[in-house]
Amino acid sequence: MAKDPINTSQRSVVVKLVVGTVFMFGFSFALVPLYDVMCDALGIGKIRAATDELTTATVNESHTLTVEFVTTTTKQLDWSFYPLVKSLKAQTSQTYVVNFVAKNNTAKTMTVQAIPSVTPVQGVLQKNPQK
Amino acid sequence: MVSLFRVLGASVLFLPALVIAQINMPRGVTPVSHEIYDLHMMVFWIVVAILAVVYGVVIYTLVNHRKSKDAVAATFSENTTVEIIWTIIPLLIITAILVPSIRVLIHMDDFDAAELTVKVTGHQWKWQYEYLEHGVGFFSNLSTPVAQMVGVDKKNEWYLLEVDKPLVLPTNRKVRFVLTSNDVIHSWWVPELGIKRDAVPGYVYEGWARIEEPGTYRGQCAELCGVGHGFMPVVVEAVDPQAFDVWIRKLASTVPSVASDQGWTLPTAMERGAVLYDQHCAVCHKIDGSGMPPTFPALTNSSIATSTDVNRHVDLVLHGVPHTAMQAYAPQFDNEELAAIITYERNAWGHNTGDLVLPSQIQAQRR
Amino acid sequence: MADESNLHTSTTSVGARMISFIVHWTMTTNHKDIGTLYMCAALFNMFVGGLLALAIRAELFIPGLQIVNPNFYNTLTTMHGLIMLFGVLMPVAAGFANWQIPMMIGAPDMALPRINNMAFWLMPFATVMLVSAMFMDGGGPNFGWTMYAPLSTTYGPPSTDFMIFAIHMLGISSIMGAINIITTIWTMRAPGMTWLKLPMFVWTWLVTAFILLAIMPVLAGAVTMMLFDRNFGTSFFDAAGGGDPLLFQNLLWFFGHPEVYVLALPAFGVISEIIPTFSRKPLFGYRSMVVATVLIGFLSGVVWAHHMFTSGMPYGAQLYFMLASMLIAVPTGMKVFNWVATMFRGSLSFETPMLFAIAFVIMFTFAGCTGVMLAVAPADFQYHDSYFVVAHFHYVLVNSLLFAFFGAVYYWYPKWFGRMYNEGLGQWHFWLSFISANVLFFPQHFLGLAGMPRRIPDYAISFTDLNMISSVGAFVFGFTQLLFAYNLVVSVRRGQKASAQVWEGAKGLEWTLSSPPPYHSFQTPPKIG
Repeated sequence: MAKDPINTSQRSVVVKLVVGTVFMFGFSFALVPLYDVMCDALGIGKIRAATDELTTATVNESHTLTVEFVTTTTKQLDWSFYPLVKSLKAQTSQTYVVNFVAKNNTAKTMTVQAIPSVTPVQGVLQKNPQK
Repeated sequence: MVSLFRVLGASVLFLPALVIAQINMPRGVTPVSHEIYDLHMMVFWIVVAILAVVYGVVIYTLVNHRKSKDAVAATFSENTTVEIIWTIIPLLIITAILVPSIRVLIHMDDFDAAELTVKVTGHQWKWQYEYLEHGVGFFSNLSTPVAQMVGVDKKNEWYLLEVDKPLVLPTNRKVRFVLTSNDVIHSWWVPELGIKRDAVPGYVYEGWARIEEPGTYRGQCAELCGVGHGFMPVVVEAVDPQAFDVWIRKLASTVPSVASDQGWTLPTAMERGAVLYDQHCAVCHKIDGSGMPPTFPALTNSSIATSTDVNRHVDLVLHGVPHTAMQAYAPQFDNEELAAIITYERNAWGHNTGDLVLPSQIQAQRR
Repeated sequence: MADESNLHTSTTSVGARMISFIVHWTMTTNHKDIGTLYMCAALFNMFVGGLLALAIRAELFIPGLQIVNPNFYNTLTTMHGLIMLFGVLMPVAAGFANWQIPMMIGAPDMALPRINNMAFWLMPFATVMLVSAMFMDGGGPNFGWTMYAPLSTTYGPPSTDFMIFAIHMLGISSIMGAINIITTIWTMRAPGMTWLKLPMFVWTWLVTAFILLAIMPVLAGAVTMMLFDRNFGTSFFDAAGGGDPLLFQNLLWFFGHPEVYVLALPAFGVISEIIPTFSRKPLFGYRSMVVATVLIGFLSGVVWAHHMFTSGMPYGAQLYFMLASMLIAVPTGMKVFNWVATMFRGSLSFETPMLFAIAFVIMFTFAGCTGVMLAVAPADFQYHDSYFVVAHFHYVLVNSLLFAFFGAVYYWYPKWFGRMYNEGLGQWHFWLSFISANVLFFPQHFLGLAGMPRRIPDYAISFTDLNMISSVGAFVFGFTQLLFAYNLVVSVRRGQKASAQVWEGAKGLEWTLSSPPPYHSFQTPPKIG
């Protein structure tokens, strides 16, 4: 049976298809880091891409950008997290440092993580100069 | 017999056309909503034209090329010219639709400075609005009574589309909305403002609107977010800018009610607590307190509601339970409301602990 | 079953015959038997999923909460979607594949008969597990068939893990079936059956099977990540842990959009078989149909984010996905035009299969048009997550695809069972279904335009009238399907005996076999002219 030409070619087709299937399963897990890679490459939603772009943007006139800082915390943990500055008018080609306060209001140690998110994405890429 | 059925079947398709005049996408009151409406109508008419042509050919064929009319079948099965034509024409139609669409997309992504920024946070199951420049905010809850939902009372005109505190906005000012969520993905949709944006936990997303006419504009949450998804409407009150300035100043200067225990009796607390519980807690814990364990624990005969440790009960309602659906309700209600709810839970369903939780107790346990 | 000679004679006891019946149907590796099994399972699941739909429409008949509580309502909508997609439409397409592909290519059976048996039996066990989740503590899955995180991960009930397990099994079943189908078509065509002589139904299933192999593993990955987030402390979809809820949406729709073409392509295939037969004219533009099928297969994989326009994607992405989604209308439209051109200047007769096929052409064209409307990204900001979308996809899935599959059942039933179905009953089934399905779904377009969101158990007063009309249509449509089931079951014994040719204009290898065909057909390959 194994020498039967149809079965041999069938076996090779089946093997290739199974390998392809397993590859696609691995692909979906690979999408997790790939997702970050793609976001960085396209400059979507990640602060890291933003800071790279800001230093290399070419601007002819001086424009002011109003940047607002907002935090959202879960009320289930007793901690405070807020920016010291609510908004600032940033001039182009200048760097600004904004400080945030993170305060643990309990007597116990707690581990928390703050996730940054920036909007709008295009504003970050300086495609449209802002008023 | 067959032809009668055919007519009936076809007419059913067109009867609703009579209703179209009343039920279409609203043209709305913002530049974006106008543009979306115009785009929608343009594509609609293109679609009508395409269907008229295709259906015309089909009906002609069905009537004339029947075996019962002794039609003899042709033998052709190819015609390259025709096939090229009916590939090119759809491509042209698509281009015709794309050009105005791109213009509207660009306009929607207008990030010029806005005159007012509102942070919209989706919660299960209400919206929270904060006027960022003014440092004030509030929660906006559905105000339709449960009695209307279960058929005890007659439904009012704005059934399921009314809230206790609407979002007040100025007309003719560019308003920027910054959206996020406290728990699951929600979506903030007001058709007449032409705006729908998902509220995603851990993300901030934005939209904008310039409302051109004063009025009340209603919308609903547009992303399944759990049990109360259909019960978290959006109500926007657009007023002229002067009225808005007065209103926002008044809101910013409102002192939150101090914890006052005066006149706070068990009957008062129970009466208020019953209404508030039905409105805000029963959605998960059920009107009879039986909940839906294990996700939504039963309150009836639970140790939390019946043991002598009242503080534990208060703490749980104020600050929630991490990693569960039990929210922290401290920011959403004032001291009297929370005292009423917790008193109700401790005395209803046969618990009868006799405990009266005081507003000052609530204040003391706030962080 | 095609051949009754392997049942015992009347001298055997009832018990022994029952055992032999069970053993036969659980162990069979015959493609005809397995095709019948898929059909029966799909029909049964259709009534289960349909019952859920009737509960939904009953609750939506008038405003107010009358019948179910909001949590159970969310469970109903979730399970209705999962059952219809995974328990009805995919199995019925697999059933057609099993019955028809070997006969149409002149092969004795599928390439991997034992895998075929396993692939089938996984499915009803998985469906039972899925439905049983509704009865577990904490309730069934209640986050929509689209299972967005974090509603499904952090806030999903305990039964969600069973749902995930069921989805894994359904996925494996589909993957095994797809591998079987590709191998069969690739290696077992009768000599002379070149690629360009392949029947359209076989072409559409070939492309469908490749799509399945690309997408089912991605779904498996996504629900595995869900399982990990729920039980093993990972944060694939939890922003607080460094993950991203939108990753789930991207993974789900990367599966979910091609999935609708997995359902649609076999339906396109059966329409391409039925219309030429009853037009007595060859299919117009066979080559372009093949090209369009392959093109649709490729394009279907690169348009997924048109389900996510409002979720925060940048302008460039919106532009791309709008463009790609509109482009996919071109090969699809080409197919519609080819079907119409097949009928044009033919010699049409209107037996039940043809009625369903014509209704398909009419309603699928309409569904495709609302699809183009949805693809217009700025407008989609108003349509998304409203009843306009619900109307669109039900026009595709029910009014188009289900109708196509109904037509195909009537078309091949006489061949499979050697008996004609009752034509009068078939006509009643058609007309009642056609009218009621439109009464059911057409008003929903306007509900969406007027602002009614999806997945709500109760609604504002102004939506009452159209919801009422829709619910009436739902009940008529639901009960009409009993006619269909009755026709199928009764005609097996009492229907008129069918000839081999059955339909005057039918062409293809299956029509050269007897009705019913031999249990093992084409043991020696036929000569292809």
